[in-house]
Amino acid sequence: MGPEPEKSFRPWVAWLIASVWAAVALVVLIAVRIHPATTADISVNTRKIAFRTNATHLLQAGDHAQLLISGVSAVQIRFGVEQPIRLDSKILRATSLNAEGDSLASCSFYQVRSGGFDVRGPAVITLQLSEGEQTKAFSLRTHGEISDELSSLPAQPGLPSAFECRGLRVLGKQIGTVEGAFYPQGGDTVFLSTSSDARLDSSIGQHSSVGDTQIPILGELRFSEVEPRSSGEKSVLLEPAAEISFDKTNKKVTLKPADLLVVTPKSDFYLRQLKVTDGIHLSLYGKVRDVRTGAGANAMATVLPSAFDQADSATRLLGAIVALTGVVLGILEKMGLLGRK
Amino acid sequence: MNPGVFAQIEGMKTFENRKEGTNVHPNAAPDFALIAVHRNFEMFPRNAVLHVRFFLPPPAANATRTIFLEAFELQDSFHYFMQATGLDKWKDAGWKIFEPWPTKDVIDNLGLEPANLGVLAHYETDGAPKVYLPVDVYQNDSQFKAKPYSFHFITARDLQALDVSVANEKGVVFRLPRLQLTCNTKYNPDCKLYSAGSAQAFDLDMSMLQPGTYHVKLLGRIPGNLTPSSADFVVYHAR
Repeated sequence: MGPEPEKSFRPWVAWLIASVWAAVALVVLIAVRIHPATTADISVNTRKIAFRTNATHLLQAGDHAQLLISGVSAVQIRFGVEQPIRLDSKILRATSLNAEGDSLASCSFYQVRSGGFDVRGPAVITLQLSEGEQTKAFSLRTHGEISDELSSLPAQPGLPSAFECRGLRVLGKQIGTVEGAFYPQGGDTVFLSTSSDARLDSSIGQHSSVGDTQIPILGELRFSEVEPRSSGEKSVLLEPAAEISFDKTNKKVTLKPADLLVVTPKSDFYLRQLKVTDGIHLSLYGKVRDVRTGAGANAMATVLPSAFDQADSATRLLGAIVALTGVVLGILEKMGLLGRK
Repeated sequence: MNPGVFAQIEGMKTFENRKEGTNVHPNAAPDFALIAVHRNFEMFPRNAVLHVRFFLPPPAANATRTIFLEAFELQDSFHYFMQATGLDKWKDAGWKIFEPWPTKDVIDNLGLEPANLGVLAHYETDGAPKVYLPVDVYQNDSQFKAKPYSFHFITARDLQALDVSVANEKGVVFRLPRLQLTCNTKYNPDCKLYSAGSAQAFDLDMSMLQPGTYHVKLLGRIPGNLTPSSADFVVYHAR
């Protein structure tokens, strides 16, 4: 009786098993390294946000202790009762005032209620907490014309409802300062529109808040600014730490304080809610192409789940079955149970 | 505003006579940062070729000076920045023209509005403050009438009042129409004339002054603060 022939892998079986494992390894490697667009849910508190939008209306109605607007192109005031208006040194009594301005004209309105801002066409909006001494104050810069309808609030002791404007033309004549008080019981109305580059600064009323919902975001969001003295990119995020979760996976990322954050939307990305309080609280939702974060501008990395993370359980099971098939083939071959023909 | 604007221009591009694009540039670090001084600014359409003219005074003896010509957005949305290059060729005094500056390269693509463009010319000499040179910005060559200068600046603090005065190099204050801007504290004791971080402007008529170097002094009152904010800009007034 001759020696039992050694059970060795036939070349084609060995190649088949190696190919199955190599293919599985390659697919896993690629899936781990690519980060397809996915849906993100982001909560952020920030000092500043700049975004491009095609929203037609911004900010819900709210009371303003002072609303200062630079870049007033037109203003129309309707008084319920004839009011004195000062045009430089001249005083006239009128029930209405129409005036035109330009990018250098400005108006302040005291104790007024704003209906929010209508935006004409796509605009770049920069919303920022006030850099000044006052608390609960913010600025809104626009690249794109906006308009607003205001109504005067009843005067409070020591705080009349009033307006003052600079650099306007009234009846075609350039006027240095136009100012006056609204009717003390309130209810006078103001319509104003801005030039294509304007800035609004608001001190919010004591019991008022400013916010909005469902604002479409069209471009990248970068939560940083450049520090003038160092020219370095600095985070504008505030406590509590930003949280990012992704719909298809259970992956949840909590940023470290003062991390930089860049969000690149893909489509249907919304500022779901915005609220100005001790910071600008944002809830963002939609499909993102990338979300990068890091300790510095040169240390940014994506936190988007990989294709492997995003693969559903059926896909992973299929991959496991393919890999197991290779193992089973090897065992069967070793046991000589695979046909020899 | 033109539809389809907001093309993203990342970073600075180098052209034959300038660098132009988007760049983060420092501003508002001091109490006041000057961002433009215009003598005349002609509005322009898309696809214009701009020229910038300014008067360069005689250099001080044995002093090396560096000339700067820059442009910014007044209300910053895109971080637009332009810096002219090769200005060191101008050694002598006289009217200088920077050209060409085609808007199609960057300005049109970004969708910048002419009214939001600020141009700032100045020179620096070792050990001396910057000297600002009011500029004419135009598309078609024309001799402009002397007009009040428009000073565009960014304030780093909330301001309740701003006082602008002009003095010569000996400190003599001139009786120009003095600018004293203020918000009405009867309407709100904490009223703001200008908000911190905002770009603002004032006009100053220096046409009755002899050509020369002058100090434009800004004194701002901050709401609820006794310490004022201030600045002193040196301007060369030419005719």
